[in-house]
Amino acid sequence: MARRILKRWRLLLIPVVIAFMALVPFDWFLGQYKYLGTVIGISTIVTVGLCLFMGYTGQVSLGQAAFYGIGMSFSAVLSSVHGLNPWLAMLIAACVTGLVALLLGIILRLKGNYLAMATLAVGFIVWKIAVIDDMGYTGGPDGIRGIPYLSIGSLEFDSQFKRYYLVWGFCLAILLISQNIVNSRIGRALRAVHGSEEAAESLGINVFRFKLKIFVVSAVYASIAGSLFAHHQLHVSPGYFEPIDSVYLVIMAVIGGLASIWGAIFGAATVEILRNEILIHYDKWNMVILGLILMVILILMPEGLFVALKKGYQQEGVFFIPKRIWRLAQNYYSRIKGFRKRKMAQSLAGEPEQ
Amino acid sequence: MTWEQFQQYLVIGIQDGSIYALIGLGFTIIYAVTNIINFAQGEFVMLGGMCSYMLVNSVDIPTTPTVIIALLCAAAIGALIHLLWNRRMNRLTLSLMIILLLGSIPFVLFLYGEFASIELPVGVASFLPILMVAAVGAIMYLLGIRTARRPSIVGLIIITIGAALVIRGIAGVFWGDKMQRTPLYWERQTIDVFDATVHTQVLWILATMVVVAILLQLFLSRTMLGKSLKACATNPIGAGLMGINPKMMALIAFALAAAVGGAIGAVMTPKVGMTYESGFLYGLYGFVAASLGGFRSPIGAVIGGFLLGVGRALIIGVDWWLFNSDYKDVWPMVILVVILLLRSNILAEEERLG
Amino acid sequence: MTDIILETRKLTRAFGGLVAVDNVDLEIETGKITAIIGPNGAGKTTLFNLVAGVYRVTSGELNFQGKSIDKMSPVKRTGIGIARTFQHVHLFSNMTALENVMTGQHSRSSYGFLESAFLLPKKFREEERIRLNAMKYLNMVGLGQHVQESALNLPLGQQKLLAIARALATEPKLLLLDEPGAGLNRLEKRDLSDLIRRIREMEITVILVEHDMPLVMGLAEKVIVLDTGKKIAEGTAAQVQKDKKVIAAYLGDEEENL
Repeated sequence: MARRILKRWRLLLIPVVIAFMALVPFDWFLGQYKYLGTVIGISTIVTVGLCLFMGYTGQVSLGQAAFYGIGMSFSAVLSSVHGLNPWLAMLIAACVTGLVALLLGIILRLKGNYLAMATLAVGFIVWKIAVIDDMGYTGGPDGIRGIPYLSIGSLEFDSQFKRYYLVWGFCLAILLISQNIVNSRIGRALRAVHGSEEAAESLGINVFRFKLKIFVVSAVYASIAGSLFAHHQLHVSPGYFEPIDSVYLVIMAVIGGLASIWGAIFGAATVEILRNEILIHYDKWNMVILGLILMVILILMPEGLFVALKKGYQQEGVFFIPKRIWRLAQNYYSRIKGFRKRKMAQSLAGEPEQ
Repeated sequence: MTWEQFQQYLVIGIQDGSIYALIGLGFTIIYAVTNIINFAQGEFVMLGGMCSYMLVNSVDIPTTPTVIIALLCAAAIGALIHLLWNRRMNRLTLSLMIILLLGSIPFVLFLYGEFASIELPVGVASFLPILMVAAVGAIMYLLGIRTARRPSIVGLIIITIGAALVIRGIAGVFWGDKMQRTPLYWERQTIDVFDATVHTQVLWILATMVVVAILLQLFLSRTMLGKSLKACATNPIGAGLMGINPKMMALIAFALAAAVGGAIGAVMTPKVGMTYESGFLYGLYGFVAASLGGFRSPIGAVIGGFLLGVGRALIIGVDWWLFNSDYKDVWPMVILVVILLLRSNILAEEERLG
Repeated sequence: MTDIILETRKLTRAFGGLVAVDNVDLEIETGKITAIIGPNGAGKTTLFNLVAGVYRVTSGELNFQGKSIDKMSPVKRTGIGIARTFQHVHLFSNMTALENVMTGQHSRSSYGFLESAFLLPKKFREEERIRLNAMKYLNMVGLGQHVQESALNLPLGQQKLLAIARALATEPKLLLLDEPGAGLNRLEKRDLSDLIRRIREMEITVILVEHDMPLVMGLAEKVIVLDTGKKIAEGTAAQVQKDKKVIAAYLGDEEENL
């Protein structure tokens, strides 16, 4: 009975959320936040890729910003310097990024610690090469300007209002696609790789190939997001994909829950709101707070904040947080009592202290 | 490159090599004992430098971060008590606690502006940071790694990333964006060795490296505690059966690695300066050094550090094709990825056993 | 077509200086239950891993249905009909029981990224079949009512059954069971032997490595005894039990098999 009501609630919740998201850019609603909303959409796209790669397949990437950067730079160079149609530029950028990921795929032979380090190194290399800019393509640290807007026929995405819908259209499509991938034979294979590589192999799942494929998919996602960003901001520079941005992406994925597609929106929103609104003038505090969030989540709820909240709600209802805190306090109290008793027993038994 | 230039670059190489060697050593200590790659190792170095700067100079420090650090210290002491919940005090835990307290005192004193009026001599100012950073390392282990529930390797390294962000952010708030330097240890700036002009501080750096490496070697091979650490590194389960507490050893490893990082950080600051962001790159280089040395051997890390330092200096010197000073940071990362791949089979074997 | 499904000739695998499997000749007959027994460290699991493709053969031949498979990847071996279970279960803890078994159907289905991303009809067709087959195997091992249970929440006995269902879902011709009885109580063991007999009725050849003698003696039509990597005896359960070499090999390891 209770479950059925919960299900109905959820059905109601979906149109409410969609309506809310759709109304954000209107001036009478949350118009001043449409830029923020667009950025959240872009970050969500990258985060979903990261969730597929990290949460579902159980790998780790600390260099995701590199793919974001490759997509961004290629889109920018091709559409501004070479005057290509922005859509074509975006497509080429995605292909190039996919190819780069394919070639880099060899590092997926590494695991855990070493994979983390290797991806971090790759992210660093890509960023550094963009900064050095020997051949004068990416404009070095200053970046590229004069990137055209995306347009469909006569509809040019030249206002923040239009771009908000463009980005969220892409974002929604990618979320749905990812959802479909996860709920399929492919998704099961990915989770099997996460669960046990040995067992996955024994069931005829080509572990390395699946890791590689999902790595490429996540890279292409990041590239699409990068292209969208280029045509949104009209200015790109290596400053947008520094190695630390990869860490921020991981934080987004972790907050949303590594193995949760829709949590990505939540994660991206949390981090972007912190970075762009609440702590916009305190970039160092930003680091401290995001670092603390990351640690606390991984220490207390490794499945992710979003997922933990959802689970808690499902198990114990709306007031699960005070309930849990109460239980924790009780637990500690009984431990302290136990400790005192033990101490007392020790001293009664006349056990010598060291 | 002439012979004179070669010697000059060699000096730079030795200077950087010593630095990387000690950072690599820190990586190795923690990795061998806990199987965690500590992404905050570079931040320890940065903290060492910054603490020495703080002790030498009187600076206006905002109070809020000091309060936070004092709180963190208190929390760490609480966590330590938690760790020792139903364990009797022994000499080891007592001395650890003393280190923690001593290391925290400078921070706490700072809260009351004590140091603002005293300017410590540079010698003292280089020793105290070791203790302070060791305390930070221990705090990080106690609050971050020790408390993690159901930790996976990837989860743990992400926790260390979070810790790195926190440390970096707090340092940024504390000491600002500016590059900070401490005065040279000797008044005389340079001496001539063969055809090269050697900065006197380089000698100090080299000496620190040698002394720390020897002390560490003696510690590991001569003292009971050091032997326990080594035992824990080679066979944690066996060591556990012999009555060695692996968690305590992990704590010591973190404190030790942090102390090593703090030492080199303090000594190198007069020569190269330090910003709150320096830690990231030093950490990466330290990791390259450790990977060159095979991750588990301290001597290997030292040799790897020197190889890396000299190699990097020579890349700057060669200045041919892609081997020039622009790419000096790129090549070590490429080498890192290549080494990781070459070793991937050995590493896989290690992980299966570990 | 011979009735020998798996054949090894002078099969050898060495780890550095240690020869774990030493010149073993085996002939496994199609449709029968064969047990491989031996004291600890006899090389049973290594032999399994050689057949399943986890380890490469050092020297010798390994033939499956008359074709050499020693160069084949484990993935391909699953494709031609070799399935296995693990001593330490190795279930996918992040999935439900049903999903675990559905994963077993991976090599018997073919739709890929595109079909799943864009919900093409092929996906639905195959997914339907996968689900039905998975349910069939789950019911067969008697876990039909635990479909939505997370694999980790099942007791060990049911986890082992689930692992067998998952291996069956690859639709094998040869099923390798690595210590299926370890850690089970008497009732669960009885269910297990029933299940293995039913698997045999499906015309699947079964090879099991097992320590539990009563289980082996009740089930196996042929028993092969390994000791320190060498084959020391083979025959029916009764024959093997009387063999002098076997008794000698086990005497040093008595408490293990009481």
